[in-house]
Amino acid sequence: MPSVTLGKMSSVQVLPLATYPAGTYNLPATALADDVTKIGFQVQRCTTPAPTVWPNLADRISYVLELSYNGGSTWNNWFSGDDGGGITKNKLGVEIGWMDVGPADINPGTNRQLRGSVVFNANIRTSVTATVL
Amino acid sequence: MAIARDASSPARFNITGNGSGSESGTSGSFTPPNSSLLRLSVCVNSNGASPTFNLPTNTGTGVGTWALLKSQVNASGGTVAIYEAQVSTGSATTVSITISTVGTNTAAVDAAAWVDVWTGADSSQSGAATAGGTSATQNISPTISTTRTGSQVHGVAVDWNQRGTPTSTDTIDGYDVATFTSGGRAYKAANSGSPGSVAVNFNAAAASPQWCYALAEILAAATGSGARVSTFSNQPMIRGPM
Repeated sequence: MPSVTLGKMSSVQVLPLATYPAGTYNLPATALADDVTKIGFQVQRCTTPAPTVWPNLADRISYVLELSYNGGSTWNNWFSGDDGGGITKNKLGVEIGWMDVGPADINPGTNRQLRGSVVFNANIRTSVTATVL
Repeated sequence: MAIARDASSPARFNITGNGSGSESGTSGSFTPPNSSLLRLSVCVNSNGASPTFNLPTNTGTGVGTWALLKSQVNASGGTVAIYEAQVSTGSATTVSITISTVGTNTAAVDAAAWVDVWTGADSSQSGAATAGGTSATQNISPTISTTRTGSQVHGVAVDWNQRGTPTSTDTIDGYDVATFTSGGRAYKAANSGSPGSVAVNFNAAAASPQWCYALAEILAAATGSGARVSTFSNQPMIRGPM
C-alpha cells in the first residue's frame, strides 16, 4: 500500500525543477482519497523568464498514466500524451507556461491508485506537479 | 447486431457565433433508420464563461427526447458537449443546437458540430459511461471505462488555441476555423471488447493546444435472456427472448 495518499484539492510536486537526463521516470503508485474526482498534471514549459526550461521543440516529453481501482492489483490506461518544447503562445499572444495534463475525470470508487511514467527523449529541464480535485 | 455508424449521418455543420454570447448551428437534412440512436457532438468557442447547454431541437418526427450526456468547459476558453436522442421511426429531419452565455464572441462561423446516426445500439443508454477533461498537451489519448461488451466509444474535442486541423489514430473528422477554434469528432474503428479502458486520440497540428474534450460510450444492444421494454412514441414494445 502506498505510504502517501493524495487528498482532494491537494497539489504535489512530482518532479522538482531540475535537468533530467533522457530516459524514463516512473511515478510510483499513489493512493487517491475516495472523494477525488479529477486529476491533473502540470509540466513546466519554456517562457521568456525561464528560457532554460524545455527550450527545444524537438525535445519531447511523453507520459502514460494509469489508474487502479482495486488497490494496485490491476492497472488501466487512464491518460497518455506527448508534446514538444519551446516557447509557445496562446491565440491571444500570451506565453504558455505549462503543458497541462487534464484535469480529467476519473471513475469514482475506493482503493484507487495512480501511477505513471514520463519519458524524456533528450536532457530536459522542467518540473512536474500533480493536482487532484 | 453490432453498433455501426449509419450512412445517413449528415455532414459536419458549422457552429456560428451571434456576437452577443450565443453559438448555434443546424445540421443538414437526414433520414435516420428506425430504432437508431443520434449522438450530437458540439464544439463551442466559449471564452472564459459558464455556458448554458440548451437541448437540441429537430424538425422531423420520430426523434425522442434529447438529453445532455456530457459537457466540458475549459475555463480558459473552449467548450464541448455530447447529446443523444433515440429514433423510433425515421423521417427526414434536421437538428439544431444553441449554446448560450458563452462569453464574448463574434458574429462568425467559429466552431463545428456533428450528428452521428448509430445502429445496433441499445434502446436504453442508461449507464453509458462518459468522461471529460482539458489538456494543453499536443497529442492526447484520454480514456473512458466502458461498461458493456461490444460498446462503441466516441469523443469530441475543441482546441481554443486553434493549432490547425487535428489528426487521430482513430476515425476523425477534424476542422479548423482561422482565428477561432480547431477540433474534431472521433470514434473507434471497431467496437470494444470486454468492459475496460478505451482511449480516443486527438493530435493537434502544433504544440500547446488548449484542448477541451468529452468522451462517451454507446451501449450495444443487450443480449441473452430477459425482456426489454421500450417506450418510443408512448407505444410500449416488447423485445428480446421471452
